[in-house]
Amino acid sequence: MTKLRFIHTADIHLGSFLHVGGLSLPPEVEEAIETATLEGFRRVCDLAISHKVNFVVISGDLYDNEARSVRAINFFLEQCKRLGEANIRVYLIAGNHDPLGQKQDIFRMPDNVKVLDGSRPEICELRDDNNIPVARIIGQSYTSRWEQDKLHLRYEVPDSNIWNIALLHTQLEASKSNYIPCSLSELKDNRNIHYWALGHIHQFSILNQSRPVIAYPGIPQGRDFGEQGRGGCLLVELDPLEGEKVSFIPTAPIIYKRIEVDIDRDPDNMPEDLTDLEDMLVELGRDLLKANGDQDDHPVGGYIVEWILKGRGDIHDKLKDQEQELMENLTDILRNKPQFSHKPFLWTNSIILRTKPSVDYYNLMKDSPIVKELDNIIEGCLKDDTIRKKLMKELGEIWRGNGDYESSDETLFHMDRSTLEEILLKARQQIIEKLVERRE
Amino acid sequence: MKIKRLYIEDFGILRNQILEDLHPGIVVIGGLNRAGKTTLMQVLRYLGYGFPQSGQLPPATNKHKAEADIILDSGDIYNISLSGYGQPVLKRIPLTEEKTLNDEIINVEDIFGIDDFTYRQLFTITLDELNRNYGISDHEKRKLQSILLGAGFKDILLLPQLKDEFYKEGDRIGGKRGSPRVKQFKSHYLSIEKGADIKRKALSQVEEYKEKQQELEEKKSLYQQIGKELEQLQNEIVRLDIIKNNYKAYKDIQTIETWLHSNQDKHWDKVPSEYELSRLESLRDEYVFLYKDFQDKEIELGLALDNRKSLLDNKEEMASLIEGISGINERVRQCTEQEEEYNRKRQQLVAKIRETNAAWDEKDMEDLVEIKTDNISHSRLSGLVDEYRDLVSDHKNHKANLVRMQEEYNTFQDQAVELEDKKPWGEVKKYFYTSLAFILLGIILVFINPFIGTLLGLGGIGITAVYYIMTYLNSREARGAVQAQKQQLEARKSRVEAEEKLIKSIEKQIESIKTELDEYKQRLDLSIDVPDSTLPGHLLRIRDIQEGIGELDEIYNKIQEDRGYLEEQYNRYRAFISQFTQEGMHVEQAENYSPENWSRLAAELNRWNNYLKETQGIYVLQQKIEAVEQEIIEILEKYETTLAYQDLQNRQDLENSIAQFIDRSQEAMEYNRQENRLREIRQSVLSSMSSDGVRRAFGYSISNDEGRDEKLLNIFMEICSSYASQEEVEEVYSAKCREREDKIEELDRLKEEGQKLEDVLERLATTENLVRGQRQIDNARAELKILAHSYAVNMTAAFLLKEAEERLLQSMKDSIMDSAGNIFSQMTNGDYKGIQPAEPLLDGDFEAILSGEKSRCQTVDMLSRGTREQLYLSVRISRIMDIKPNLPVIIDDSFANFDSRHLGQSIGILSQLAKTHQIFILTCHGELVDEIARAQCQAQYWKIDRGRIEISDYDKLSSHLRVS
Repeated sequence: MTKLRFIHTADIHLGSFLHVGGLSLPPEVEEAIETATLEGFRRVCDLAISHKVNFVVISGDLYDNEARSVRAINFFLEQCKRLGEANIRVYLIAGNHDPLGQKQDIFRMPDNVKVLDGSRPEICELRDDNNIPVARIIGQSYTSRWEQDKLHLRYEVPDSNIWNIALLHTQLEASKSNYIPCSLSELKDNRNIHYWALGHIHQFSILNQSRPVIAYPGIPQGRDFGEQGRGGCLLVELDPLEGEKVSFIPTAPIIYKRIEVDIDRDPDNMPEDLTDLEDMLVELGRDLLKANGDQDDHPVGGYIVEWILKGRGDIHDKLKDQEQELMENLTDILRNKPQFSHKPFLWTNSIILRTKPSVDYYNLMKDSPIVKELDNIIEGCLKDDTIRKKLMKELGEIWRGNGDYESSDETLFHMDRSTLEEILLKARQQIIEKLVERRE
Repeated sequence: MKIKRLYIEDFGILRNQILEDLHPGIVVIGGLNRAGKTTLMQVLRYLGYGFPQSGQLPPATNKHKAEADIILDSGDIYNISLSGYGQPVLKRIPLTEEKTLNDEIINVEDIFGIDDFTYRQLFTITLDELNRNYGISDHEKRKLQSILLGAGFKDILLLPQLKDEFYKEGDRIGGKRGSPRVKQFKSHYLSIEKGADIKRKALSQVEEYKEKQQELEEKKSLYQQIGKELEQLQNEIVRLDIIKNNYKAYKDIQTIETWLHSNQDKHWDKVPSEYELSRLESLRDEYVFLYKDFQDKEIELGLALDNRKSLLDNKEEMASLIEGISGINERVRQCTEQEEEYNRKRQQLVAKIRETNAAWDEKDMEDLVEIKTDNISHSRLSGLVDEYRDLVSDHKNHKANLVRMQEEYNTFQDQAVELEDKKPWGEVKKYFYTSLAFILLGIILVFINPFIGTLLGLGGIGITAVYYIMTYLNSREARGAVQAQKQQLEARKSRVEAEEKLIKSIEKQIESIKTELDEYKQRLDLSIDVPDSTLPGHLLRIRDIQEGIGELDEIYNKIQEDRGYLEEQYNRYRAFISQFTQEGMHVEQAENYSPENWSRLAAELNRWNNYLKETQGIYVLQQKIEAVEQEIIEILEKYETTLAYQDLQNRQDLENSIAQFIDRSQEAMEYNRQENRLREIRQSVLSSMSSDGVRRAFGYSISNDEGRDEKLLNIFMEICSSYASQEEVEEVYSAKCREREDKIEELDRLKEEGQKLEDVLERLATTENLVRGQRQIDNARAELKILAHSYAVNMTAAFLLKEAEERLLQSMKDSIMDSAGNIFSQMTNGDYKGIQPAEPLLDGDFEAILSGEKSRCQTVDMLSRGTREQLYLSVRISRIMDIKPNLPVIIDDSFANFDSRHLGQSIGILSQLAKTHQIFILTCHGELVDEIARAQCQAQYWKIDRGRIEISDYDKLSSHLRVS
């Protein structure tokens, strides 16, 4: 076997848009946000060319049916052409977001791009300059938005004399998954596969370090606060002597960041009004941008930030009555700060108020039977499916989103654990405040 | 908390009543009806809360006033005073051992811990309280129920209200079902839907893009096709245009080609040019003319051909001789002149010789020539003569000078002797002596006066010295003059001697020159008498004569030479002429030369020379004829005529041949003209087809193809042949032009449509709408999310409250079942085993659980009044036991409906309660007092009677009550 180097990426969702609050964005920010997924992929291609890889594998969801624009398609074709000029082939499988058989497939792929079959696992042989096979790429594309068959069990390669790389778009849940039910052990059991190039999960993770290496590269560019942190791709080097080396290389030009701000972090300098709060956030924003050096070849183009105001202070009482209006006002102020409008920019997506009154009513009342009971119920909601379901019923239709933003109705929201916890605690706080108020 | 002392100053019937040292356990206050028990109970009921304005209080004389000392569980004692409707005033009463008061401030509320309603309902028990429907509002009933149910009762009451508030707020935001399509959600929902719609449309653009792309490609293909058609049409129009403009040419070509075809025999490969033909004609004319001239001149000369030939053969020599005649004539003339000059000069020279020296004659000429005058330098001789003359003159001058010098010398000699006496040494001597004289005189005077002596001595020496120095200087000048005089004398003497020496030398030179001059005379063959001064003149004259003789000799020699030459030439000319022997023309010439003979010979030669010239003229004509003939033949040969010019025998043949040739040539030239015209027409056609565009239109685009023009013309002719007339061509041309216009219009339309499609494609390739849609969704979602969040918080709060309420009530229920049930069971003597609250908890009532296996429940309505009151009492006691701090309990004849058995049980329970709580039992029933006594309770007995309260005991009180 010879040394092999390739890029493993997935879930590019090319052309999809970054979810961001605000209708009127500064042109530079607008442009960066609009082209972020394209730019993320361009950087992946840059890496492939600069590292002179043998090929690039894309483990599904190259496109996003919700944003499969002509521009995105043309962009992909252009980038593949670049790779082709550098003699780099591209192997890809379709995922649940871009299953085969869509009308959009009418665009012809360049010669250096191979889309693996959707009806059966397809094997492609990669040959060196002397026409000797050096690797096999095996995979099967999705043909619909769900795939409940265990496709991977049919991934059969004749031997392990050359590198075998398998492409699989899976949730990696052993049962009842709509996205190829499979378990880690099933993947490990296929001894001929050297590298499982997985896709679907948007977070980078290496599930098995050595043969077979099993890895998710994550999304090259996150698109909402559910995909925080810096996305990237994997540079994989398979060496018969030195083994497998997998390096995560960040590519995302834009980073979603949720920043928690304790208003009472400095008891001597607590914000007393909106201006103080603004100054505090501007300073934190400046620190964030300052800390963003050009550490790599692909510098961060900007941050989309959600500020979460926490802690106790008198300002809580000033803010809570007009929470929405004031937070919108502060958001607008931050968005219009010139120092945040240039690259690397800082775009305030939203400001969440989770401050509490200076008096800790909860602490005062924590021994009361009602508060104790409230705590019990909250705990139950978080731990007990039955009571949580009971609560969810009360929360109505609007909270019946399933968390998959593409397959979900965009008028609905998904209640994840952290949101639930946040809502429960906020509800508790409001109850306590009202109780205190009534007692007085 | 226990009441230690109670003082009622003004409250209804009770005025200035004091109850001191109240028992911490059971305090029985007995009195008959209207004794003031209920009034007292009201004082106790409002003690911790103040008298209510709305309450049906008994009137006060002045102002309701009461006070009490209370002991807290901690042992602290406080005084509570009530005045009017004011809030109770709490004062702490220091314990005796306490010196300072604790700073801690305690409120009445803190002491009682519960609100007045609760206190009244739970702790101040009358038959009213034990009757559910005694006239309180529903709210108060619910409140009472929650109080009776137990723990958190105060807050529990708030829960439904808060729940409703949260629920209402939630409902305001998102309705009951939280549908995104309603209430505050609605506008955002619609906005999202709108955004989604924009997005959907934008996404459908991908398909539209492909469709439009396909459509564009079809359009492109179509306009490429039309473009090709148009190109073909354009080519056709170009062709037609060419044909239209050259149709006449086409016809001409056809005509000429036909003519050429039928006159092929007239074609000559090489056709003489017009010039050549004209030249040929002029040659013919020239030939005829020359030939005639030749014949005329030959007759005129009449010289035999041999002579002509001989003349021509010798023409160069003839020319040379003719040319030499003038030279020879000149030479003859010169020779004659020289002979004459010779004679003249000889006579002149003879005269000159005689003039120079009479002794000489003509015959001495040769001798004169012999005198070697070349060895004698005229300048030398002149110099000698001059020098001799000068020396003689010098000699004379120096002689005179010597005399003068001698005289001067003598004079100087005399002056010198006079000056020679004055000598310097004598002056020194004089000075010495004078000085000595002064020294001596000084010495002498020294003895007399040393100063004067010394002065005189030294002054005398000095003055003398000065004097003598001055004198000496004067005498030295005089000595210089003498010295000069002597020197001059010496010089003059030397000069005299030198002069004398010089004169002698001159004389010697004169002698020498004289000898030399004589010698010259001899060399010049002159007499010695000849004066010396003429010697140079003689020398020159002799030299002149010698030259004259030389010149004569030269002239003579020249004459001789010329004559020899002339004789030679004469012979040469004579010999030349003698070879021409034409009879009658030859003239015999004298053999010797003489100028006359030469003249005759020259005239003869000139005559022959004229013959030669004429002969030459004939010869030239002959040559010209030949040249013309040659040229004619060359022209004829050049065109390879079939004429047998080689066989031309005479002039007439030649002329005929030329005439034939010219006729034939003219025919060929006509042929050629036609050919040229054809070529020109073709060329004209071709030049109209010279552009690449036209060539392409004719289906021919190879620019360097060798046979291109021919092929093009063939195509041209072929196309032309399909049209019958110019009119037809023009008609077709117009039709094609119209067709082209139509095609162009169609092409433009297609291109415009194509451009529109490209614009659409460009628009479709943008993500503008997708972005707009997404942005609208994101924004509306962001706003909706806030609402959804708020909705969720409210609904969650409502849910939490609902759950908490249920759970708390459940726990109360459990609690009731537990403690109140036990009390009730005990109170009913086991007839009932428990109590349970009826559903809904707050709106419901209690149920009694009968003892027995089936645990049958009875609602309060099903119970007897006594049992019902026991039930409520049990619940209250149970709650009283739960509530901290332990507050005083007031029971106002609440056992009226109890039978004795249940009364005993109840008292037993109260006695248990009295261990922790102070219990005021107000009664008018002696049985109750008896029962308390029977129960052996630790109790204090007070009698109340018409507003007066006093301490009593069991017996007295019992008696008092029984009396009535």
